[in-house]
Amino acid sequence: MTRILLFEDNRDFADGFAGIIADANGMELVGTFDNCKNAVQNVKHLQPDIILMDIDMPVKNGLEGLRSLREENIATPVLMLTVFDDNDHIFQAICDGATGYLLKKTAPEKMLEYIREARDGGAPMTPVIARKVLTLFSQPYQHKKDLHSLTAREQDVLTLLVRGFSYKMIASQLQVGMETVRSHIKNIYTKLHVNSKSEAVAAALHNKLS
Amino acid sequence: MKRYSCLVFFAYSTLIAQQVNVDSLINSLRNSKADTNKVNQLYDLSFSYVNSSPDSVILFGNLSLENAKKLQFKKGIANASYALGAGYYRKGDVPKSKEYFKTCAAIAKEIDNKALAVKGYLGLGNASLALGEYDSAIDFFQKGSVLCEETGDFGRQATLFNNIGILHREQMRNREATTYFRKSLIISYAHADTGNIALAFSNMAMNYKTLQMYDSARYCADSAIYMAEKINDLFTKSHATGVLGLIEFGSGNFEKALPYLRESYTAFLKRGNSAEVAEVSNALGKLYFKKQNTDSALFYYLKGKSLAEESGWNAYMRSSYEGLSDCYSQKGDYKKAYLYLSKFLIAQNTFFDSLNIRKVTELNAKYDAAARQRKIELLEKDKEIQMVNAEQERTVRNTSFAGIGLLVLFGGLTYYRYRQRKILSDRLSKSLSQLKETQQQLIETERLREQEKIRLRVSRDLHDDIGSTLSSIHMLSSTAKKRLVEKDEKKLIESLEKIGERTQNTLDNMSDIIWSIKPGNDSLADVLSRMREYAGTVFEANEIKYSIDFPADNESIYLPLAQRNNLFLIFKEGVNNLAKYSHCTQAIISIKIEQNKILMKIEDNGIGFVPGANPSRGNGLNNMKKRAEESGALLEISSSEGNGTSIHFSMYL
Repeated sequence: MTRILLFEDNRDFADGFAGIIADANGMELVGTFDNCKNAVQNVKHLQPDIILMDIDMPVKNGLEGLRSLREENIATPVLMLTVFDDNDHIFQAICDGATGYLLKKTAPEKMLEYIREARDGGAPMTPVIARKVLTLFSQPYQHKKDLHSLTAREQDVLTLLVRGFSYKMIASQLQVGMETVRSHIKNIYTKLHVNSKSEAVAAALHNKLS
Repeated sequence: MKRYSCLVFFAYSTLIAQQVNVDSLINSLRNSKADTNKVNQLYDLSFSYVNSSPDSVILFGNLSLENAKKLQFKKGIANASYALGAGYYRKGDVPKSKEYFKTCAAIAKEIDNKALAVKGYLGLGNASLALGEYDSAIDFFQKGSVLCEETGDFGRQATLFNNIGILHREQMRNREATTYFRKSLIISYAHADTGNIALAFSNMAMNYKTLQMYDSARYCADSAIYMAEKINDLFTKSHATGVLGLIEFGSGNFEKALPYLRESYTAFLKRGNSAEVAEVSNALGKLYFKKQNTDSALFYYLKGKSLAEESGWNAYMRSSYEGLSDCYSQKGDYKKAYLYLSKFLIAQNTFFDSLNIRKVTELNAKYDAAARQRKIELLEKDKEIQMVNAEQERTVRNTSFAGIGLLVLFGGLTYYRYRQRKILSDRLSKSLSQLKETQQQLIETERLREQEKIRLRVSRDLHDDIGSTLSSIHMLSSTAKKRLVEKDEKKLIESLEKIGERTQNTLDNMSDIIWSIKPGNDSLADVLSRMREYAGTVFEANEIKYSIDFPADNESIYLPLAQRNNLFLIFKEGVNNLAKYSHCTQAIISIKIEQNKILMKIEDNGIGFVPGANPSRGNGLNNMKKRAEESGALLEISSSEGNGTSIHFSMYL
């Protein structure tokens, strides 16, 4: 049974989501909060397997909520919820340790699929974010040693993503399986998380990608 | 407002001051052996015909070039290339003339001959101008003017001012244009450069005509004709006569205008320069059209069209297309009228691209920087003069009383010079601020207009698309309630499925609308990425095997907002239509960029489409056609029952 915790201030969305989860097999919505004021306590208390967090919320927004969780070394996967994928905060969130992001307009069945994927460690990526990742990794760095750069294969995957290729097409283009594509993306996310600790990346983010 | 540009008339005529005794030259050439003198003499000979017979220019120019090449006489090669460029230009073959000018400039640089380089740049600038490559033209003229200052070549400086004036006029900055023509006039008068005087007057006449200051225009045109006759410059004379004709035409004196225009027409026909005849032809066409003599108008416009196309001059092509459209419309041949109207719009687009605000801003930034530099130089010279004057005053005062008279005179002169400089720099800063103001206004207006357009479109889309869909969802949900009460499970599920589908559509449409107005999504690559993503999602969901073939190098191609949206929406409709109705198993999508056009093909191996068979499908296809028409694109659907469907789309970038 996958325990899901939702932070979302839009009542309509929260209601709809609850309904979807109620009908889904092997998933349970253990709580819904409309802000991140007490995110850390909420998580510690309810012990979810995965957290869905809306990016734009009043009082304390998703970014801050995420940070407060990661500062307490809570490693639960966190999926940021957003309406549009070119929201600048998403990229920031990923670099701050979000496992991935979910577009609110995603069809319900797909949403469940993505949630399961995230629970297992993977995460979806869309072209706009893929482009930002590529740009980030192509910045000239000063502390090159500290940073993990992308492998050629990972760059290929990102490039195809930027051009709008679906996972299936990427797999066929690179002549690998879908699982391989997914694991490449997983690795890219990991590198983003690791690299985000570096000053150079923070600076690059601040300067170039806002 | 249609304007006839006087681009062609720049002072090649003034570059050769001396009158060449042709016969004795030809004699001596026949007998002389091949040496650098021969090359130079052939060049002089060639150039002596530049006003009267372009073919002779080319003939002798080639001879000069041949000999120069044999001797590896670089200066001779450069000169001959220049002459050939001038000849081809006057003949109307602009691309060829550009090649020769390029050679001249390149070799001049090689041998570090500044005077020759100036000539080359001048020619390159004018050729670029004629081909509508305004940015290159500006570049070349600026390079030339810098060198002119260094070599103190005032004749050419006058010519350059002339050409910069022409450039301003082409970019519709008439006041700036007049300033530069006046500058050219001042220098030409100072150096008794009759040819440039005639040219400047002729251009100013055109400007005043455009500003509808007909008296000043007439005065300038008359002066131009007078000057041109003095040095037997038929070229400029015919042009000035043509301008006079256009002036009379513009002030409504049609009867007076006719003989002037016809005179210049006949003269230009004799001289064989396609661009000139095109300009006058178009004017005559316009005149006859006004006189309601459509057949004659048609004759002249058609002539103007073929000559304009031959010479490649965008301005004349525009005029003739517009005129032809009017004529055919008048005659009731609407197919041809529409054809020419489309040609006109396309030509106009090409022209407006070169008026791109961004580029204008760059141009003005360069101008600002250069002018600022000049201001500083002038002010520094002021200071120098003041210091020098102070020195001299002291010395004179210390010498003698008799010197006081001289002192007063001297001081007066210095003060006078100082005042002149001040007046110049004041005028400069005034025209600078005027320029900046107009610049700002232009940008503001453009920006506001764009915003308006976007606002209108978004509100319309939201209202139409999404408003309707949401209403339908509202209705469906009340239908669903009824079905539940009636216990009609099948219909209930149907209603609910429709609600789900329409809601998804609404989400997608909203996302599209937002995407369409976000800045930074300008390049072709962005649209293609989004298109591929969309197609992938739809096809994979419907288990249709697909292949997508998009051009690889598309980062640098930019699509204007309206076209980008239309392309995407047409594509989206095509894909949806295919997925929903074609029942196909395979789909092929390809996009190609060819000759400034974007070509898109959507093919499937489905059940095909016959008009009337499936009204919903037909509806969607009709929407595509309508949208294509709105953006001036072509959409063709070819299909037969059971043999699949293919949709062909083409649009000018």
